[in-house]
Amino acid sequence: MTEADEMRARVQARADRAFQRAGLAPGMTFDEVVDAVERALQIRLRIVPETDTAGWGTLTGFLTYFADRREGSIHVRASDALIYSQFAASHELGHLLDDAHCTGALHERSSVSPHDNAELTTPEYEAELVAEHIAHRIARLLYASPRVAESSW
Amino acid sequence: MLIDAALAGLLLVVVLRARVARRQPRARIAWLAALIGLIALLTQGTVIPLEMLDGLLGGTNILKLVQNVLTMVALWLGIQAGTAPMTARVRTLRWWFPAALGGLFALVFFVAMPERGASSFRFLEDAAATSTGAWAYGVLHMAGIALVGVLLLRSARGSLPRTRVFFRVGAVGIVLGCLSEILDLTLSRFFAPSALVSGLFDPLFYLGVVVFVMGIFVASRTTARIRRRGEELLARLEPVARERGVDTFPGLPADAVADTRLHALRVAVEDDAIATSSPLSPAQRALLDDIDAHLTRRTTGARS
Repeated sequence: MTEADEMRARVQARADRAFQRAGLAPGMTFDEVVDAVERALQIRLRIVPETDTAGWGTLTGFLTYFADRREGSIHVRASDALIYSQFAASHELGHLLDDAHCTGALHERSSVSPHDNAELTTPEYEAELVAEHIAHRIARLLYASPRVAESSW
Repeated sequence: MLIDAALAGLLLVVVLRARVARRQPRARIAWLAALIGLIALLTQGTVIPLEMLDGLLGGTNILKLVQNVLTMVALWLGIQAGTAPMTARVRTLRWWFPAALGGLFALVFFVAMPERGASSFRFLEDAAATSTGAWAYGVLHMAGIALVGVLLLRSARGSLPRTRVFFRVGAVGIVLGCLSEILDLTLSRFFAPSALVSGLFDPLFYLGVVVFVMGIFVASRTTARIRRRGEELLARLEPVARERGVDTFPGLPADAVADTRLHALRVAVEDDAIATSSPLSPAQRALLDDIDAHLTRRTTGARS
């Protein structure tokens, strides 16, 4: 197994563990997903759509988390399409659920893929990949779960 | 004629949906509803002679009870098809409700009508003219089926918008048919029979079933159209991604459904637009808006 394969397996395992932790179920809305993460981690969360984002550059969302107060806020761009800003927020939920990396640090989601971001250290790169995996898992739950109405007849 | 139209419609559903029902356990609920509805209509004697079928059960009109229970179960399964969660299976449904109602039908049937005479299509209507027991059973089973019909009407809330109107009109026809029969039995037993009221049941009830079956076909077509729309949107997004040199998220499962691939590629395209400060053209933005509308369509039917 190469080093890249090992990392891929590690990322997948971390993402699986984090995703299961939230106890999410098909049919949930995005707000219900946020509620479920709050319950699972026993924290309080706010999603803040920011209007003054002219200076954000490639940033699409970030998380501030205060472990001592067990509360955090996820900031996204109000100008983005809802699906996209929810994805950016889900990435931050991913950081929170990924227990190895939610210790009060500032997390940012860049529109530049972690694969192409040379500024990331190896642990940061891995953490970003885990968060991205979780965001895609949440998106699958929200948008690609089979619909009852489309499976009835 | 109406019975045969409903019968032909349900037969088509049973045949055309058999493959889907074999592949998808959730789809078996709807398929079983259509199959039991088909069998219930077959007991009307329009295709197989009534005397022959009732003869198998002793020739004392027990076929009527079987028909009533099957009709009730078929309608109840129709409700489950539209409302049960995706994880529901035929055996995990709450069968106590139709079992209890069916048991009540049987109890009153045998207690109230110990003498039922020879097989006849109009056995209940004829008996109810002179027997309060037959009237009581007739009213009870029609009230039971009307109750299931009302629940069916309510369950249409969660169905696809285009099909909802068919399901609602169908359920209203079924309920009004049952109510007209209760009125007819009561007039015949205690007041003066009315030919007008007697003639209401068949057009109301069976037209209701026919309209409901039409709804089933519309639902199948609409579902297929939604699936095709997802694939078409993906086919339109892929060239945009190629043109911008965008790759999708590499961690998707190999067997990801079209909506999953569509979402991941849609996010990748928007990421690229922001990362490279190259805004999407109006046409590309309109495409993403269409994709978002497709992905955010109702996630489930009615909650159950």
